[in-house]
Amino acid sequence: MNGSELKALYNASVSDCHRALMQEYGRYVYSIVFNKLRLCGTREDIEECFSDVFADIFIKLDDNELMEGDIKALIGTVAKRTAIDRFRSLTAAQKHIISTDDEDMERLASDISVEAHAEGSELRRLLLSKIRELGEPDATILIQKYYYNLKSEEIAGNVSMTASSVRSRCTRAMEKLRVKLAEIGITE
Amino acid sequence: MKEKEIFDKLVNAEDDTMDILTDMCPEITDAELDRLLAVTERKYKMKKKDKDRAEKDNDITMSENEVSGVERVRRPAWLTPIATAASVVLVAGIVLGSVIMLNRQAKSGNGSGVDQPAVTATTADITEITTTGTGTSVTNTASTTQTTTETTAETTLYTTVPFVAPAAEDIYVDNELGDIALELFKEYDEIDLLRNAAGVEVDTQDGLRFAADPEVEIWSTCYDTHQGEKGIAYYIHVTDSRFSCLEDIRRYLRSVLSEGLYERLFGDSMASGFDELEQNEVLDKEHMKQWIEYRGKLYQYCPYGGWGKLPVVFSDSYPVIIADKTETSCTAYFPEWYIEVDNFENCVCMEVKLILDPEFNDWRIDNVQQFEGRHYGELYDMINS
Repeated sequence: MNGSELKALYNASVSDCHRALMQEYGRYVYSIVFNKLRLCGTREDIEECFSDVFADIFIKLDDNELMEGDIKALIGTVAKRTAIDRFRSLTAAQKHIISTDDEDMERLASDISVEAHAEGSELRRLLLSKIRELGEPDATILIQKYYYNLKSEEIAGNVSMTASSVRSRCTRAMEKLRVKLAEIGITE
Repeated sequence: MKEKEIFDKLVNAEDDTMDILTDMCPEITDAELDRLLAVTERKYKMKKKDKDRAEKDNDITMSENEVSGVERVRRPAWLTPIATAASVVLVAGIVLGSVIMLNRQAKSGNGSGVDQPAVTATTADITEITTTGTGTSVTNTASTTQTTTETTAETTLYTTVPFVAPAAEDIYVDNELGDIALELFKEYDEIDLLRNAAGVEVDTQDGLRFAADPEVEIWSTCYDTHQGEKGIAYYIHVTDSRFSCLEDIRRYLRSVLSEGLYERLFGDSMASGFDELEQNEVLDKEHMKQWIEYRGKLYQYCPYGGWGKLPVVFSDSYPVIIADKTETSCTAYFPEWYIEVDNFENCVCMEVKLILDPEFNDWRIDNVQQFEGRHYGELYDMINS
């Protein structure tokens, strides 16, 4: 959707324009917000932040701020800033402190060691590239299961499979991913 | 789960990684879209309403002799009371002279150093009060030669209480709590009008005249004579749809203020139970309060002089910062500008203490302090560092 299409839709019906924006950019905004808040927020926190983003976008629409320029870039910026604000408030409220006696701490200590490998963005790119090497629908199944935290039944509808097929593919794909990660030095 | 921890490394993704994750993001179903859209539309309408209100504030005009749209003004600007209309919004406010009847300063909720102006004045035709005002600096002179006015209030914007910054680890941005704090503060700002006997619809043709208790030196604006008069307690019938009795006022105030702050600011501002007293008789100081119920009707005291406020504005770019949050209390900091958003040097840092009021199980303002704008800037930098 470009600026003039957006303007035409807005002039025809504001509510339809809002719906169209959410339909077109909803996944984009959700993935940005989810990426920031998945470790510190509940699904409700994420959805609330998602709504805050679009509410701000609708305000900008009224002020003609979306009609020109790169709509997706502007929406992405609003999403990131809002998600960062929410992240700060959630983490400050929760005061993320893990005790060394905590069960999670034990699991972290004994799990796959990635600290020895390239950090941050390089690691993320590497992980994603290995996941994508698995091909579809395995890559999507793994991401939706372990990153987006969906249940097998929910994934099944997205990839047009049965839930049991999703589970078995998921197990096999995960084994393949471990092999690939081991090949680049990420070991258990 | 070990698998999950691998994927946890994908947080804080860069743009190119985000694009891939977006492609793999599950579709939003129609039902989910409807639900999310409904919630979003509600938030959008609320934000739009706030934005429209803030913009409307900036449409207030102030001429030399009067201010229009009085509900939205903020800093002192002298007004000429409207004496001829049958029903007006009363705008008169600060009482000139050594008024102690309403105990405003003693009851000040924030211990503010705003001083009462020291005044020597004689009876004057209220329509002749002239007003000059530029920005936030106002001078006021009356038409009689014997009048002198020292307006010390304008020289002290902020409290004399020193600013104590919260610890860095105790401050954060909480959008929901911040919205609550800001909305409550906007209501508090409206209540400030009530403290100064303004912002209430009254009937200037329906007044009460009592002789003031000789122990109290007061001046009133008397709408029956169109004069400012010393030694007279003049009350005017409140016709505001919000308030028909003292309990209505109390309920309204308690919708914003904690019990403690309500008591400090308004605890001694109401009186009733003297229906047997006739007009022009002496009204003792125990009953000479800001609001009275008399023979079944609600009245408001009419102090002598004028008062006004400049419009205040806030900015979405500078969020409400929450500090010292507990389950039942927190402190909110945000910048407030007069007329238009500017830099931190030209704003006021508002410190608003909220408590979870047990009577309503809802947040209420427990204290308000003003500090120099740079203090908000310091907190803002801490948040963003």
